[in-house]
Formats: sequence, structure tokens, C-alpha cells
Amino acid sequence: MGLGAGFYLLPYGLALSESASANEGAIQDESLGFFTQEERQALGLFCDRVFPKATSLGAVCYIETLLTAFDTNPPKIYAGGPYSGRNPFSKNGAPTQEYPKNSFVEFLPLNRVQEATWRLKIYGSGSIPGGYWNEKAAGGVVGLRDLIKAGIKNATQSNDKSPDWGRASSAFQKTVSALTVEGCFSAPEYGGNQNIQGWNLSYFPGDSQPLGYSLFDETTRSYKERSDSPLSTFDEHDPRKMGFITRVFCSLIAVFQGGRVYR
Amino acid sequence: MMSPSLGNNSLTHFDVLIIGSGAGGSAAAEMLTRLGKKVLILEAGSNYFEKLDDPHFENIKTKFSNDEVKMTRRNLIQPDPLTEPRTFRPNAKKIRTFVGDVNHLPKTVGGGSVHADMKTPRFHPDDFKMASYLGEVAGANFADWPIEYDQLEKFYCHMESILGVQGKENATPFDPPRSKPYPMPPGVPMLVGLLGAEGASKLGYHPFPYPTAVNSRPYDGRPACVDCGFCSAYGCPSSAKGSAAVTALRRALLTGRCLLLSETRVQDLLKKGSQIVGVRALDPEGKPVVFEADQYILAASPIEDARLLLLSDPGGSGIGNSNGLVGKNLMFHFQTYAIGIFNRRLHTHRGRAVTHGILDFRGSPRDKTRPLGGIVEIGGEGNPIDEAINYSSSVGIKGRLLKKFMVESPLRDRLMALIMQGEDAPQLTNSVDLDPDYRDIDGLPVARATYKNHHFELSAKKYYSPKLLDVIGAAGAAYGFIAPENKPATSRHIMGTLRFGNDPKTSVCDAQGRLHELDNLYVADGSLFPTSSGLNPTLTIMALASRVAASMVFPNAPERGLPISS
Repeated sequence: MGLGAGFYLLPYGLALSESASANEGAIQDESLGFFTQEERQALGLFCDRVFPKATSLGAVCYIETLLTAFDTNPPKIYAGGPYSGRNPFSKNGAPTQEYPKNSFVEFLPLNRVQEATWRLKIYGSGSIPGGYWNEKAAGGVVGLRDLIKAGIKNATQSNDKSPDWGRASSAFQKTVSALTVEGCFSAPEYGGNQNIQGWNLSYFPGDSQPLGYSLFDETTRSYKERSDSPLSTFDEHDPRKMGFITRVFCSLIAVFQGGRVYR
Repeated sequence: MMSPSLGNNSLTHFDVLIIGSGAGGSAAAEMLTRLGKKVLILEAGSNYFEKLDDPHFENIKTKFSNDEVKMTRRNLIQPDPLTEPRTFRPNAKKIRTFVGDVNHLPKTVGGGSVHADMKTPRFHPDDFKMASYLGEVAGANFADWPIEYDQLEKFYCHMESILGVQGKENATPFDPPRSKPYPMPPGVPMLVGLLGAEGASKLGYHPFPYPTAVNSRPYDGRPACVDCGFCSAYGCPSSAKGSAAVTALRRALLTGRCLLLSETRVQDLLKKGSQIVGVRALDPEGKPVVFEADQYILAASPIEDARLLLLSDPGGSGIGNSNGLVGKNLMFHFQTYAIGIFNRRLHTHRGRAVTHGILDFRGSPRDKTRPLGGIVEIGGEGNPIDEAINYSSSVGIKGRLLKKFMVESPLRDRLMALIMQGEDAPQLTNSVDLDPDYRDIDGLPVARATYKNHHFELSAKKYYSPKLLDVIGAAGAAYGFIAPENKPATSRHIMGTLRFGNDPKTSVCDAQGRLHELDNLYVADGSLFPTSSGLNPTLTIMALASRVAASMVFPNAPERGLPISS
């Protein structure tokens, strides 16, 4: 991270000193009672294969939070809103020192359809009296809890020190890969992206409300852009330019899709 | 859980029952309640606007937020394909080839207007006369609308005023005539929009600030937009975005003549002779309940409207379907995505998704030398989970390379997307019916879409794709390509299925939006569209729904329903 990134992040860092800490309200990365310690370690190895240091970003905690969502009421499926408390209000075209409370931590109650949907996803066909109604046409629904536990068990059943993920089902690999990246870049209230490390490493600022990027000045009836994050102009510095490999990747996409390399 | 009811709970008799609280249903409710009618709205989804019926705007609290997991991964307001699947097939020879999300629109108070970024261009006068201009197009089923642009113009003005549309008059040579200026000037432009506009200008095209129902200044009690970056696919945390919920619907609720029941899932319509006499539904707990009114409006979106009519006549051909046209002429906009990757970061996570557009590729039905494409949106793409899924699931990249790409961000922070909303030719074979095997959570057959593209839109894509890449290059991109098509198409611009027209043999509804075969059942959403144009449909859906509602009170002069200020 060079001087540019420091300049880019400095005003944000100052603002945060007055706000809720980046991780306030986040679910702590500790056992939530579903996985054994061994299972957590094994799952962490898989997550780290998908994305380096995913475990320290909170991917396993994110997954376990989802799998135990119904242990709390309301279930931890949909974080609340509208604001996380990570950004201040603005007034007269400038940020204030007033921060909203973090309402992301107040998870939303589910309606009848959402409840059935997420019980099916997490617990499978057995969660519905009479089973999944489309079972004859579509087959039964394997719940995420069973899918992931079975994948870990299959991968670790040999005596090898390292899990053999080739033994885990393709459904496990596809599902857990997606959940891993969700866990790296989710709002931290879901248990992932601990201390917003995922957002920081990808130079993504995360949720921006209520401050946003264009600040309306009631006194002049006009907008002001944030000097640290302009809307209509380039940033002064690029914190991490595209390297050779990334450029090759872009060229390959363009060529394979029948596109163009302009410059 | 927020209260499943909004508005006046003491109402006992209803003049009109509306199914669906989205763009069409809300616009109809605004018109009807202002004209003194008592209206009941049934909405299948939940309400996430606490105190939407409070006269003081500052008391409204929404649960929408800048949360990628909630809105795009766990689909807070989108029907889930597991419990509410749809099926798809490319032709009638197959039973189905896909089960899942087939152009699902949100189920929530405010409907699709809540997740939309509310781009609100008007259709062009020529769009209402496509059959006259194009003549016979083999395999297609073009028709003129039974009304002309002039008959809708004041309703356009009315809805622009209610929604709070920002825009610039006469910004392009292709603008339709308008009798009133936009309520607000354009807001702050996004960098990606300015670059795309500059590229288009270099090539002689005419970019313009995109008309959008997003406040560029405090308007109607709602605050100015802060360009938070979470607009398309997200509910607005501040209600600066003029969704139907916080605009037309709220106005209806504040009259005291409207009751909205959310989480109330309509199962079928009860018919006696040529009258609808009731609606069967399930309440929030799943218990059956029947609602009655004097007149009824379908506004649940084209696919669900057609499904409801087909569900309402077990063993028969469906309500209003003597001519077999219910569900036919299903249309989506045929979207072409031209992608540019820039060496510099474009920070498209700042802004309201799209601030500029190009109309030069829409073409004209009077000009036979080139195909009819559509409006082009100049935008960016996505948030980090979406980006990571693109690399990992679509391309199979994992590990250190995935991290490198997330840090350098070629497919998010450096990405420009030009999206052409190509006109989709209506075809009788593109249709909605009931799947023979799949059921929703309530045990009802789900909708099955049968859909295949016509040469009309395919040739437009072929013709305009190189021109889109020219714009991408002129804008300064380092790399450009046309993204592969999603199959089935993922467009959320859904039109047709209950076409309106003057001839009962070739249409389902009449020029006022009433089903030809029924005395008291109307349609007030995109289902009515005989053709799809090549422009975002939301404002036209709302203007037309408002006109349909006014026609219910003033059948021969719907303009009388408009407020004097319109």
C-alpha cells in the first residue's frame, strides 16, 4: 500500500475514530456450536484454498452463523437496516460527527415463505412436514448443514493429515466456495469480513449510508463531492494498479469473447 | 415484523381491489383514491417501510440498507426459486429445460420499483404504432397500441411529478415531445457516465443525462440522493429513490381511502358470469381468506397476471381466454452487455448506477436502413461478492490469483458496462402457461415461460455490438468485449401476456385495460403492452396504469382524472 492509498483512506480513518468501531456488532469468530473444533479447522483449510486467509477474514464464522441462523429469534438471515453506524450523517454539504446506531445487528423477522425457504435450505426436506413438495419432479433438498458436514467428513476420513477435498461432493465444493467469498466480503454483522479486512484488501469502502458520496448543501441548494472519494473525477492515485498477469487475464477474456484490445 | 397492514383499517367496503402494490398497482391506487374510490391492495410480499402511511415523512423507517448479502445473495425481496420456482423452455416441444429464477420480480410493498434504479425514460410516439410502420414481420406479431402517445403524455407528466424525475429537456434529438419540464435537474454525474458520454460524443452520437426517479434535491418531503452506490437491486435507505412505495402508494395510503394488506398471497379469482365476485387468498399465517370489491385490477406483473387468470379456471382455458391469447406475446428487453475494462479505476461503487445514456442505437421504425435496437445505459458493475463470484464460479479462479484479482479489480473497479435494452419482437409462441409438475409453496402450479428470440432482436444485437465496442474504445477502455448471453434471459423488463387492443379477436383487454370478456376486471401493468419499445418500461407502466384507473371513473375522458396541476 503506497502513499496514494494512505491519502485515500485518511479522511475515512479519521471519521471512523468517532464512529462505531469497524467490527462493532460483528459476530465474534468463535465456535457457534455446530462444528467441532476439528471440523472448523478442516473447513478453514478448504476456505483458505478458495481465498487466502479466508479463515482470518471470518469465512468459517460466516458459514457457521448461517448454519445456526435459527438458533436465534429472529434468525440471522437478513441483517436489519437502514444504517450500520460506520458512516456519519452530513449537513450543509459536510460530514457531521453524528453517527446513526448500528441497525444491521437487528436481524429481520422472516415471513411465512422466507421461513420455509431458509429452513429448507439449511435443514433440507425434513424441515417441512411431508417433505419438499417438488420432490417428485426435482428430488429432495439436501440441507446446507448436512451437505457441509458430509463434505468435511468425506474429505477427512482418511488418516492423512491434510483433507482430501477430492472426496467431497461437487455440490459441497461449489456451495462452500460461494459461501467463502461471501464470508470474506459480507457486512461484518453476518460473521464474515472481520474488522472489514475483506473490504480493505479489495479497496472497497463497504456500506456508505447515510454519508454517501455526494453531499447536498441545503444552504446553497447544490452538491459537494467528497474530496477523498470524488464521484465525477478519477481518484488521484491508484492504490494497486493492474499487474502483468491481470492484464493477460483481461486480454484473454477480450480475445475469447471476440472483443478488442485497444491499448 | 412490521405490521402486515398499512392505511385505513376501518374500511369495510371497497370499490376496487388491486392485486399487487408495484409500479402499476401503486399508480392505479393513487389515481383511484384521489378520485374518491375506496381501494384494497393485496401484496404477496412483506412490507419494509415502517410507517409508510404516516403523514410525516421523517417518521418512515425502512429496513433497506447497503447490504450485498441481504439483497443480492439471500434475496430479501426476490421470490426464491426453491419455494417459488418458475420453469423455462425454448419451444413447446420440450416440457422444460430450466427450473429456477425465470425473470422473477420482487414481491414486496412497492414491487419491482423498490429494487429498480428507477430509470424513467418515456417511450417514443413511434413506439405506439409499430405495426403500421413495420408492416408484416414474418414470425412476429407486432400490433399498434390502441392509444397514442398524445393520449398518454399528460399521464407521463403526472407520474414524473409524483415520482420526482430528474432529467434535462431536449438533451437529444430523439426526445419525445413533452408539455412540462422535468421536476428536477440532473444530479452529480458519475465518472463512468462522463467517460462513456465523451466516447459517444467523439463518434458523433448524442449522450444525455438519463431520466431517473431519484431526487437530485429534496423533493416532496424526501431527501436528496447521496449517491451511495447501492441503487440497482437495492432498496433505498433514505427513500431519495422514488420507488412506487414512497411516492404513488404513499399518496394513496394518506387519502384515508386505501388499505394495503401485505403477505397476502392471492390464489385465484372467483368468477360468476361476466363478473369477478371475489379473490381467494392466504393471509400471513397461510389461512384462507376471501376478499370482495366492486371492481378488480390485476397488477402483479405480466407473468403472474397471466398465471392467475390460468389458475382461476381449473379444467378450463383460463379467465378471459376464449381466444387463447392469455399469456401470449411475452416480451423481455433483449439486453446486450458491452464490457470495457479500463487501466484506471472508475469507482462505480459511488453513484446511482447510471447517470448517462445513448439513444442513437434505438433507431426508428421509419428508417429501414438499420435495425431497431434500444436505449444504451452507461454504468458499472457490482459489489465485491458479485465480483468474486464472477472470478471463482464463472472462470474457476481460486486461491492467490483470486485474491490478486480482488485487489486489482479488473471486473469491478475498472469496469464500464454499456447495456442496450433492445426491443423484443412480440411472438405468439413466446408465452406463459402453467407447468404440469412444479408447484409453489402454496401447492399451486408455477408459471412456465416458453421463449425464443426472434431474428428481429438478434439482428439488432449483431448490428450494434461493434458500435458499442467502438464507444467503449473511444471512452478510453483498454479491453472490450460483448458479454455472453444469459439463458434463460435475466432481464427484469417483462411485458406482454395480456395485450390490449380494440379487436377482441386479437387482444385480451380493451383500450381502457378492461378484459374484453369481463365487466369488472382490469389490468394495470406491463402485461398490456402490445410491443416492448427499446426503453426502460417503468414510467410507461405507471402512466398507463394511471390512465387505466382514470378510465374506470371517466371511461370516455380519462384525462379528467388528472389533477389540475397536470
